Amino acid sequence: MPKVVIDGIEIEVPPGTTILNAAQRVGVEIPVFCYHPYLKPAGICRMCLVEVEGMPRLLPACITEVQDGWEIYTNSDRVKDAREWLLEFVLVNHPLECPICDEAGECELQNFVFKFGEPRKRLYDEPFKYPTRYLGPLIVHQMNRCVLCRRCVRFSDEAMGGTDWGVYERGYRTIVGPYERDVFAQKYTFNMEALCPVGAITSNIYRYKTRIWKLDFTNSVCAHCEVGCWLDLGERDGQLLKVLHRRGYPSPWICDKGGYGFEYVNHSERITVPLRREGNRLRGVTTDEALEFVAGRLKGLVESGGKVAALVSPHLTCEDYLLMGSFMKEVVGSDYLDYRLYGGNTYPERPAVDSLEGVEKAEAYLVVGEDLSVHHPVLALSVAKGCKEGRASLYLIVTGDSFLFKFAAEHANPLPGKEEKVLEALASVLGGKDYASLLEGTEVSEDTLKAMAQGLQEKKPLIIGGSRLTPEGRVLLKGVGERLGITPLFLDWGSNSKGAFQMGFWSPGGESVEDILNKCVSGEIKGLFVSSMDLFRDYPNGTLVKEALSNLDFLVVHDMFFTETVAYSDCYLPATSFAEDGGTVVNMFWEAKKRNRAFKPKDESMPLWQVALGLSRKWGRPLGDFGTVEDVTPLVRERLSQVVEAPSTLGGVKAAHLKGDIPALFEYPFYRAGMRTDFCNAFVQLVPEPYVTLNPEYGDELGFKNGDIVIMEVDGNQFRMKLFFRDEVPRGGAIVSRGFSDFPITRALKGLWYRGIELRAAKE
Amino acid sequence: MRHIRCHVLIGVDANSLLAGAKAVEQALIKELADKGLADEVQVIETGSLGPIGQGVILVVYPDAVAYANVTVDDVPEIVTEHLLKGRPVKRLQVPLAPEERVVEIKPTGLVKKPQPRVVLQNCGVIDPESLEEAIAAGDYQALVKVIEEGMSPKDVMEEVTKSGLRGRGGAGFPTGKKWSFTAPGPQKYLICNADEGEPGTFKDRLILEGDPHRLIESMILAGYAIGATKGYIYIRGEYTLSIARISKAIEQAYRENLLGDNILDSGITFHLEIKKGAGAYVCGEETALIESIEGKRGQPRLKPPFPAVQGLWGKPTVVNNVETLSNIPPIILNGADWYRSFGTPTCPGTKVYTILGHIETPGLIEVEMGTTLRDIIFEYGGGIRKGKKFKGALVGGAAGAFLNESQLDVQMDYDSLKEYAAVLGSGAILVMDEETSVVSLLHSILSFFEHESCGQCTPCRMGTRSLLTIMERIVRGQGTEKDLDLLLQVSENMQVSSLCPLGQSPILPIKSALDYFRDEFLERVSGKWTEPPLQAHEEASQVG
Amino acid sequence: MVKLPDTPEHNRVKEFVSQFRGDKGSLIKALHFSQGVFGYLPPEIIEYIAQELEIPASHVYGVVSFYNFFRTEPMGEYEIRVCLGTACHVKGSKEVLETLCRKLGIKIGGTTKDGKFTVSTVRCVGACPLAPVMVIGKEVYGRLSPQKAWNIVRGYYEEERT
Repeated sequence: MPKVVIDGIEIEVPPGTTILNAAQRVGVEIPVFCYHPYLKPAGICRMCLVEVEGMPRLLPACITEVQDGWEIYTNSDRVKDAREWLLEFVLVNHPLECPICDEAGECELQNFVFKFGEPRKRLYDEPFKYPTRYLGPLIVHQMNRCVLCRRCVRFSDEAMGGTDWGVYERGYRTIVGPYERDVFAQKYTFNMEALCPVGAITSNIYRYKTRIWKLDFTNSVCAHCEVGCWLDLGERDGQLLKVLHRRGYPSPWICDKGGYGFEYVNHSERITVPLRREGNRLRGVTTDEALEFVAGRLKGLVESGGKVAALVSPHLTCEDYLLMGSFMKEVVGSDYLDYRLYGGNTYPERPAVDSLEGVEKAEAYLVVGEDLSVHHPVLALSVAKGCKEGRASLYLIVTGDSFLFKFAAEHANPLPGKEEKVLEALASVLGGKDYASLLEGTEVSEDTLKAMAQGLQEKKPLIIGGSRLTPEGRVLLKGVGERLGITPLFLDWGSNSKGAFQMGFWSPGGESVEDILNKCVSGEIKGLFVSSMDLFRDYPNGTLVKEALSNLDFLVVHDMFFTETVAYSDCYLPATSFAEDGGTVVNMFWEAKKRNRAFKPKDESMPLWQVALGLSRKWGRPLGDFGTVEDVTPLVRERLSQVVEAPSTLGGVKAAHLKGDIPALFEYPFYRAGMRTDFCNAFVQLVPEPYVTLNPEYGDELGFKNGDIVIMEVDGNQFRMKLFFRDEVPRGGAIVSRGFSDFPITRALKGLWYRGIELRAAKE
Repeated sequence: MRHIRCHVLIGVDANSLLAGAKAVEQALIKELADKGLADEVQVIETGSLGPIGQGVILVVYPDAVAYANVTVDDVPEIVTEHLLKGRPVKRLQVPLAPEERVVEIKPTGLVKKPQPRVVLQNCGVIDPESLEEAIAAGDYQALVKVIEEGMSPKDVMEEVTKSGLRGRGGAGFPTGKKWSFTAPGPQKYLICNADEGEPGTFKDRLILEGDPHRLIESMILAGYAIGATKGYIYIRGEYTLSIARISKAIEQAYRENLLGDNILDSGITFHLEIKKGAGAYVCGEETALIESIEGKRGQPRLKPPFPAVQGLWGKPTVVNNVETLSNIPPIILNGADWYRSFGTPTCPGTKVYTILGHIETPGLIEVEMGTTLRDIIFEYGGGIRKGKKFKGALVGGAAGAFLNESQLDVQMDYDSLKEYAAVLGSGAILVMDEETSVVSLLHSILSFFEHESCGQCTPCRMGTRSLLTIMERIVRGQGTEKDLDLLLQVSENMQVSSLCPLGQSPILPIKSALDYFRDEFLERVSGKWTEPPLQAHEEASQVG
Repeated sequence: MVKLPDTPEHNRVKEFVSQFRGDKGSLIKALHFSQGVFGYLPPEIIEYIAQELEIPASHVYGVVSFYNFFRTEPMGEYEIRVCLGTACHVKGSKEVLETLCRKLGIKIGGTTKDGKFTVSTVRCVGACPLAPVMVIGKEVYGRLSPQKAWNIVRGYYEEERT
């Protein structure tokens, strides 16, 4: 192991360690702009130059590997002189707008000038006069402030495989930025803002809101998906104003939902007091009164022989599921509870990998049934990493993948509803059976499938089963995994589905959400408790939901906003956001993570576990003596360590059934795919309304043009919407966006996210 | 039957084209036909005949009579008097170089003093568009020797190492050594750097245009030595004539199996492709050049890894300059010892220079390494134009250094120049007479650097800009003495901290200009300086 | 997806570029060719090349804007390139450039209103002994003075009239 001396401190480091990393180990700070631990070394900012005894030139610490016996000086006169010049170079055209710059306080240029600069100016030149560009609701780009470290460009190239963000011109005129674009929002935009060492790329959401040193940061876990990225929540005066991703874990990168999708927490339309129905009105009541009322009504229903059910969001904490589950099962005596409104299913299998690093190490990937970049965006980056570097091959059986398809060795892009048919065909190929007939009507060629099967047999793949897979599809994929000797990583929709599963928040009798809703219609179930879910938005059968809700004797909704479901309720209980309470969440690798409370709940808002506790007390059978969420956590931990056997049937979903001209998949657009994205203003601005997408060639065939307004007809319901051409949509199919609470497409569906549609041009 | 008794060589290069070489050639052919001499006298286009700035040049063989500044009006006289009656036209005649040969050199153009021609051996002698002439003049003989004598790649590399040949691209790194660093691997590349982007330099271009087959041969040999089967010539996009000539030569070579698979049944395989540059000086840096061939912005890469390990498309790659490569066939053909008989012990061989500026015969010369600057200017270049006084010279192009009168006796080779903090660089020598302004020359150099910096690393991007702003101040007469120190400080810092040689270079012209011509700068920043009237420039241009 | 219109020029570009589908190394070649056809690189061509070679358009534009040779605006009928090389600078090329710009009423890189001339600069055309030099179209004019240069440019207008 090489031994070196850095500023008089001796240290032994593993071979291949850079001077910078060695210095970090002994606590010596070397300033850097272009260096970033998760980007490839660039060596272009030259801030990190250090002196090595006996070397004629200064060496860049970020890329130079130490050699045994080196004596390194990070603070010699030569180094100081070089640094001062470099800082002066960077400052010579830099506008002096620190007082109004949002980066102030976390600006690396500011810090370095403070620590390493000299209060003198030798060079004079005009400040830069590039225009400020508001690139849509997410980021603002101010070229004037740029130090051209190119971290943003390198992120775009290295992590995303190239986007419309680049570097142009050369020399003193070099600029970075978007090409021919007024809006820049590409799923991972947040990282570019976070990487920017200065205020050249700043958040539009955070613009002029506060100063960074006025914020209190609390560590938490993102509530949008089950990747479960660590976040630092910045709060001031009970407002969540900024999210940082400082730990670089589980991945160095996060997605825009994690970074920008928090505006709903501070939304002005939040209802933070309980409401009780009085005729046609909902009237504000005290929490005590509301809990008394709910407990009393539920008790009355049960005593009169009626059943009570609970449907909750898969985005809550284990503590919520545990106490609510206990309340439902032990106090109410109900067997009807579920969290899988989206139609998918949790499959209790421990996957072959247990971390994103493990994912990145795989040599091949088979992804089936999900656009990973929409529902597990950070996982998509990890999969893309090896494929981009040529280390790994990617095989996709995904309808309309919008990101990974660029890296795929083979992409089976089946017509909507046919993913599992293709999977079945793949299983047949691998089993040496006839498969040609299975591919009929899928628009996937035999060659693609053969190449895929061959590739999968050559290199052991990591198999990823997406959230669109039905229980049958999951069994099929598990079989493929067994043949290839690997347990698939099964994904779920929601940030804590696996936690809900582990806490036993499902009907022991195997009833699905559809079954529960049908029982509401039939009158068997008389009372329903809904938490943090708008059934009309997230369940694909509005007719059934409407019928079920209208038929109920009593509906309680625990939520943050006045949704369509709340309109049917007899009582509304205000819910907290993820920032206002702690708890445990389980990520896609079945790893439990602790979320912390960033600030106290707004007004009367309560987390679900507290609601359950309060109801149990009012019922007269208290669940226990819990003061804070931390008191519940030990029970959760205990439950997490238990092996949960899956019930014999896990809420079945019927096979796809299509009617109409064009088979269509109804899928969330990225910016609408997380939790309560309808109340994140930036996302609403980015994707204001649903749209339909077609493959350009197919669109041409049908006589449409990109950007046309069309009438989409599904089961006799007509919707007027915009049509876009996207290369990733399979020919002969369509992808229609869902997930808009104020746009009732979901209501027209018949229980499935696949449906046949008709399209025609809208008359002006 | 044609029985040629006489050849007329006409030098065709950019400069003579400007002077109407094509028109003269057409007139000549027409006149010969009119006089019934078409079957007896053959007109041959060749590359540059050496000196430039003397209009259209004709050389008549076997008489070895040279004419300069020929116009269309002169053609009938030449044809009637000389070609028909055998009486040279004294009025247009210029002396031809005496034939003093160390090597077997064919008579060439007009030079003041005999030059040992190793690299430019055939330039200006043969029709560069004819493979037959190239072969007759000795091209591909070294290749044939390698094949016939069964020289192994190692033999070729050893011969080049022994010859002491050093890279002519500017840095002077021993070529054999550079080759020996090439990492093993199934796929390697050889790149010929013909991206001559430096102002005032056009030696590579004349080599390319004068004897393209020599370059092809040398690339086959170099590729054979390092184990590369694929070569690229990265050529400046503006060099249309060079591209046309070399393309034609490659086509001919493929046709005759001098390129391609199993060359001349020897088992040697070498493919050659032209890659056009698009105008970026920094692409002369080898890693930037590689990036450019890969279709990217020409931004230098970090080293290590060096191209010899990870170059084009991540494969081991050797990048050599046109002139360096052109030295290889004679080395292989005549041996390392022969080669070492030229030049100095540490810098053997010859060097091609472009001499420009206020000099009697500007143009391309090839002289031994170690020849003094004085000899180059006064013997080969004919001295200062119009009998004016020598003031100084910028040696090595924009990234080179100024030398003044007291340094005239410096030996021009890599090691001797180092003592004067100067470099051979691109091989351009800009000679200045007493009336030249070093201040505006330095300004031009600094604006060149500002324009050509790739913008990747901070010190070069901002440093070149800062240098130019300071210099603009000085040029306008608004600078102070402090600005002169600032120029030095900034360029010193750039030398210390820049990523590639481009940013490390401005110190050379700046420091030497301030060292040797400081008074001139002091005059500018004295506060009393005013710009001379435009007429001075007009007069100066009349001098040209 | 970019679809180029069906004109002879666009078809030439399509035919050439489609040979190099997915080959990122051929970018500069494709740009040279397309500029040869159109005289400049319009946005739809940049996007088309990006799509065919499978490179983000931002990278293509990054390359286009890096090299001196490529341009994204149409050229005047004649391009006047004034050499600013060291040798030409010594002999007053800057005055030539300034005079031409002033008389034509445009900035460096601009095109005259009538679309006749574009003035640009070039570092060196390798004709230093003729300094100062300017190149108009394919014609090289050497040993200029500002007046001489302007006379030459004016000559192009007169040529048209006769």
